[in-house]
Amino acid sequence: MIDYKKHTLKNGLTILAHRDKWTPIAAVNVLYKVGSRNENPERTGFAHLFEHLMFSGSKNVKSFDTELQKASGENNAFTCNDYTCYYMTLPKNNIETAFWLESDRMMHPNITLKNLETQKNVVIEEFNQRYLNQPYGDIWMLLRPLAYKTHPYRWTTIGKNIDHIKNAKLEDVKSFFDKYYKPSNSILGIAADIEPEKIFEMAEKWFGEIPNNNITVPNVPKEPKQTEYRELKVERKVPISCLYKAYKMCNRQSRDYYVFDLLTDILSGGRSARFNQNLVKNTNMFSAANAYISGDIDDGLLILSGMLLPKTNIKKVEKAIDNEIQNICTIKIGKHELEKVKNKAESAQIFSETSIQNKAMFLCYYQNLNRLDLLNNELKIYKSITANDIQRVAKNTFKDTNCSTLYYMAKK
Amino acid sequence: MNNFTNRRMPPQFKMPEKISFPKISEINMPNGMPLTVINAGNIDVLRLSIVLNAGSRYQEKLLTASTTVNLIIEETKKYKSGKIADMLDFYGSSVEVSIDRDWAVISFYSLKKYFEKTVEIAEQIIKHPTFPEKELEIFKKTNKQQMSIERQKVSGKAREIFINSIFGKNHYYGNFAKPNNFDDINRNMLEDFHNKFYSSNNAFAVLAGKVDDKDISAVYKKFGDKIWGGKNKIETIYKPFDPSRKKIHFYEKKDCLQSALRIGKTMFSKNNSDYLGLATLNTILGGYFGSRLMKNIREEKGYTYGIYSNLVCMRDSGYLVISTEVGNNYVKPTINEIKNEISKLQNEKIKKDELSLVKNYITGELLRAIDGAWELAEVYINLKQSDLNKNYVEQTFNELMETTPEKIQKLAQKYLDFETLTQVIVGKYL
Repeated sequence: MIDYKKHTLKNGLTILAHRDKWTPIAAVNVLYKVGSRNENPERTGFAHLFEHLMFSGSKNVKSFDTELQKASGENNAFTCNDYTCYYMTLPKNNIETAFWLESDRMMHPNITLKNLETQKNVVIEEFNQRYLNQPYGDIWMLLRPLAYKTHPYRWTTIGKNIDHIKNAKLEDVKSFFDKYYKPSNSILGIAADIEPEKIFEMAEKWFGEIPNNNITVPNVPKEPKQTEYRELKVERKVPISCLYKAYKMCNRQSRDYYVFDLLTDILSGGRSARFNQNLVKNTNMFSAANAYISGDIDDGLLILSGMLLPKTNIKKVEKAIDNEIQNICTIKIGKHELEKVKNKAESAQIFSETSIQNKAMFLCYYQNLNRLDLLNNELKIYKSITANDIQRVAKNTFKDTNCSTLYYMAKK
Repeated sequence: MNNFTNRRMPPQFKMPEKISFPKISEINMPNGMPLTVINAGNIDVLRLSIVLNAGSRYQEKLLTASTTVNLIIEETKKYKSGKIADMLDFYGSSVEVSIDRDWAVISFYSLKKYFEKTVEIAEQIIKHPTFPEKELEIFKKTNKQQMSIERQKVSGKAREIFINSIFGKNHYYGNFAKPNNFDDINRNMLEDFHNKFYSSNNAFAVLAGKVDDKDISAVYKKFGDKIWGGKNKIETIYKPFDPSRKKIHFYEKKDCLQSALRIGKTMFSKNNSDYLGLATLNTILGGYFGSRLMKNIREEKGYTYGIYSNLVCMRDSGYLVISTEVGNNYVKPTINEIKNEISKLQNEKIKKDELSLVKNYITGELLRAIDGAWELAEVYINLKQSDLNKNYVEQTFNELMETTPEKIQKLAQKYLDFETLTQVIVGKYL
């Protein structure tokens, strides 16, 4: 249970404050409602590149990290398809430093040519390190454009290709900032042993004077319903082949999202789940088998994946996965198994709330969904899910015409 | 009227005057096995860790220790394969195993309401595993493969060559298993290893979270009542290192986009009186995002996505290692810059500002490290593994506050001569 108070400044910035009396550490999160979904298809990777630039200091802050480290803080950030999140922790006594730093870079970050050139280089090395020079690193770069044809989910946050990063211009970066990094397009979430009223006062002091542009974020093109089976086969220099099947699923706001979550837990949430017990332990074909949902805000993906053992035929592996899918579509799941995944969901939620950083993050996340009501009510939804729900969703989802298959073959 | 916020002056901040580990209770259970209770947090969750003196240094054949700890959770005399996993999942509990050169740690996480049930399963897992043939074969196959994937990465290969070279390929701190070593493992070896090393004489337990007497007595009943496992106390044998004479190792990987670098040398365990000072020096060099290496090589030059230096401690040794992955054409300039940064630390005293920044940063790290029940348990286990006690946290803070620029420079001169460092490059040396 995370209780919170909410306040909105005149310039549109939303603030959420949770009081946690059990820790001397404060967690401060700033979420900007911009991600790779908002990028021009010809200039991908921009939201993420911009995230790097937000650490280049601002008008009154020579070095963001240095000033935070002086106040015993630590921070990082990540960019996903749907949003960009900056998070930090520091002793609660020093929380005003966090307000100073975050408000100053929201107001006037130090975007210079020199910083841009260095960060372009860093991001190119990141691209190499995480996506290209890593066995299996490019799987999502192949899977996304296969599953999505129109929606910007068709590219990864690092971007479609390195040239988009290389060609980024200072004026593009500046206009990106003007367009998206505004108070009304951001959310401040704080978890600390501090009175919410005090937090709102500090927010007013530091963020209140930041001018807002009344921006209208353009709508993201909707992905048309998939009607045909898709597949792609690639060969790579990796030790072993693997198989990915991506099925379209519902959006994050829908009740069925939670059904999908339990469905994938039945298949592969935990060591007792079906994929582990039936596929990994019983077929002698898999070194790993997984099922999970992508968690995107718009219609997302349910992913099934299998990592093969040597001398295994990928078609047989696919058949074994199909069998599991057939089972869950045709045989209603039993009481014990359903209760098990519900208990697991409950436990996962309770455990996640032991971290102050998570709590600040959740506040921003649900506000961004416009569904703060879900923050403390997801367990009720999980509890209401029936075996019929699972079967219905499985049947509607696991169809060839809703599937994109990637055969990622080890080059001989 | 102008009442804009003054942004030029950073807000005031305060540093703590003292940092100390909270109150804990350290008990010897009736069978002599130590149990430490860390009561922290307001959420109804618990973690029980069983820490065994059963790391890979004690094994006769490579991979025995890690296979043992991974397989104990599969099947026990009382619960057939699959049943344990099902019960733990049903209670929303989880088990985590970890293994290093010295220690095996098995941790159980549970909601308070299912703690007694979880401890009952924990007892079966620790005391009565059966190591079924079938599970062993699956484990060997799947892990063999994961290992070959890891070895294909430039970073994985570089790590292996580095460790081999500084401690010696045949030393218990320097050996590195290869995928085909799995072929030599059989269930008798696991059973023997378990019989010998998994015992109340050779272990301690840590219980953390929102603990009450009922939880403590559940642990007593299952782990502290009678002596269990092998009767003998394990003798830790010491063997001198056998490092490679070669200081520079290059391993070519033809079609890679980036090369991995590992540069460093053996140091010592946490018991050495220079340890805390060296840890601060390591932070300055490459231990945090504002470090000299990161600032120079990532933020100034853009050669890499990240560069770090780490000080790793084992029971009776340790090492410092600088690691990074850089574009192939940046290998030489990066090594040069590392060299430069080290000479700077040896030749110039660190400025007061930078040292105070690092002190504040490490203070924050200390505060974060002891914030929360899980974190406290981690820190405590770590200290106990080095025969240190919880007062060490306070000592760390006090020593940190007293560190001077002179001390940092002396340590850099004493330990970081570039010629004494082993360099490993995996990739392309253009």
